[in-house]
Amino acid sequence: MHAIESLKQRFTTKASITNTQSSSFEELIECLKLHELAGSAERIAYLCTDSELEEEDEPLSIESVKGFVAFMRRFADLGEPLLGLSPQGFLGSTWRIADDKHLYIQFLNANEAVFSSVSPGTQGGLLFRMSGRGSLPDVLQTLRAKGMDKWRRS
Amino acid sequence: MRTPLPGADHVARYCKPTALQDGIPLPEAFIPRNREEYISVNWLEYFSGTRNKSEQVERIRKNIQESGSLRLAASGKFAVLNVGKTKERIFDAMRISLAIEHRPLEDNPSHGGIRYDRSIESDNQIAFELSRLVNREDIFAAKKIS
Repeated sequence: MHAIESLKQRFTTKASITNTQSSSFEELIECLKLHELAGSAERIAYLCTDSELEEEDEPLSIESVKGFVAFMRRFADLGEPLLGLSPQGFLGSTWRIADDKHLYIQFLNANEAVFSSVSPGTQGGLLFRMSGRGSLPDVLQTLRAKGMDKWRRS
Repeated sequence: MRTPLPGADHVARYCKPTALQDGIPLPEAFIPRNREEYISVNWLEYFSGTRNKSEQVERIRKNIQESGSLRLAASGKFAVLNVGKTKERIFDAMRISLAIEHRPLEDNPSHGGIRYDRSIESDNQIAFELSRLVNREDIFAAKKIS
């Protein structure tokens, strides 16, 4: 089987990302490209090089990238985020959709995340702030309940 | 020695290239290392005789480079925050009172810190809010282009 087809097949099953204990950065980057997230793929390729790291900083955690990939497979409509690397080695993704629609998620590992967000409040001009930490399914459910997966469409 | 900074003054945070995208500071720019008790910054108004933020940042940049206290990357940036507005934003958003202080070091006399009770959750929330506070005109190159 052609290598790309093999990768596609590997990453199209529901739990494929979190189950790929042996996934390499290269495979995860390739997976993002296959899901039309070329910008994120390019950015992660940059973040996983050690050239910009300072002595005390942790390198990018592959488990954190797995969490991000798993998230994007379910929240693809949000579009490509801005991606940064924390001193702890966590991948952070930021969406700035509008002045009143910002979301920031740090992927602590393949199945745990911490997030902060602002979204339009019920009263004119006021912002609704929400933050939390939990398993990836819980975070996904919380954000979906606030309609954040549809932000780009609204 | 710790001295609270006046609300009208400003602090600059060095942002590494991995915490910037398209030259804009991401929340990661405001997350301290695990061993750090606060977000390290530099106090702009420490240097007397400077006329504007650009000159103040230049003095800070020069001091850091001469002392070697921090490795400044060519594509790194300084993000400038107003002390009063920063404290107000964090209190309004999270009901957390930040301490923004001058904490001089021997080789870095304008050094300061933004202090709060750290946890993964508070780091995330505060970094998120601080990154939202930075305007384009408050971002300065970390290295002078010659």
